[in-house]
Amino acid sequence: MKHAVIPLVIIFMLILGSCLPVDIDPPKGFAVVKEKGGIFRASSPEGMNFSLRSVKNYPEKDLPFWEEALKNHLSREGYIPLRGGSSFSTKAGEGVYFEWVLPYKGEDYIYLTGILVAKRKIIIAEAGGQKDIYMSYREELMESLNSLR
Amino acid sequence: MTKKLILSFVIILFLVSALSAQSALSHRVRASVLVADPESAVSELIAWAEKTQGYYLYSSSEIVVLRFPSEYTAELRPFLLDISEYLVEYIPEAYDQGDEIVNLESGIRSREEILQRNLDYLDKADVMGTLAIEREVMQLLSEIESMKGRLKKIRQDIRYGYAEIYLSFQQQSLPSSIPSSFSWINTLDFYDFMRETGQ
Repeated sequence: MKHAVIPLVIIFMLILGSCLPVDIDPPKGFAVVKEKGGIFRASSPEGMNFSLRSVKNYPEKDLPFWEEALKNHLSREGYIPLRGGSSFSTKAGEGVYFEWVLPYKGEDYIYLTGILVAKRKIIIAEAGGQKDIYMSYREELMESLNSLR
Repeated sequence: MTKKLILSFVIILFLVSALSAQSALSHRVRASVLVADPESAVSELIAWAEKTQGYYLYSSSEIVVLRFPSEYTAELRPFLLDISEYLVEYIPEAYDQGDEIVNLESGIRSREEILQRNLDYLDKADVMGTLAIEREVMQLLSEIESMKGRLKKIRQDIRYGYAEIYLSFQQQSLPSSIPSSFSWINTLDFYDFMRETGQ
């Protein structure tokens, strides 16, 4: 009996570990295309994607630290910020997001990177799309981020 | 005849109050634009502010902060559309400073009255009284100066709009991949994201 319980506990822990520690409403107008394996992904009819995943908060640091680390790293790589970091507030905690402008397929694209530190996890939000399509969904993306709980 | 006079008086009163409410508004604008050449965009923004008899407070390749006569606020958006490839964000804000002005003006008036009364007492007071009145006078003078300063600032804000314009430029080269000490940050890459999501 004991031998049968141990694998079950391990499987249960693995399932728990692979789940997102937060819930989110998908952006309005997006269809959820994946919601398992610790990844949430939604797509717009134009093919613009929004994804959410979590990673271990290691080394364990707070939001201002990761905000600086993220901003410095992507800026150093040559990403051009559309504007400074903007904060958002959710039931799951405080977060911050950046929007970057990048060339892709001969056009300007906007890439959103958002983070939220929830206890021992960092929730990472990403979205990217051609600038006109992105801007048409920007408000819906912000609403979705604010719905994190 | 009397009715017409009363009606005219009411209309004039309404217009005067509407005009005074309008004149107590201070305007602020926050905008983000995507430009092909940030240096030329900065020069054009500064030239626009100077043309309107305004000025710039700060300028870099990423942000320009302008002050310009409030009556030109409506012209800023078309100008930004004209000089940019894309107007990403345009947030106009207007604050009614009327109440604050009235409060400050009445605060200054009442303090000036008290100050005058204190100065009148000064001639009749003994040494201890004179010292007490002097302390009171100094306090009142400092409060009056501070309130006058705030009033001046508010009037300046009403006369001149304030705009923060963030500039992003269209880049020609692709970002390079530089490893981070933090493993999860290395997983953030626009091109990987686009590939993984099949775009």
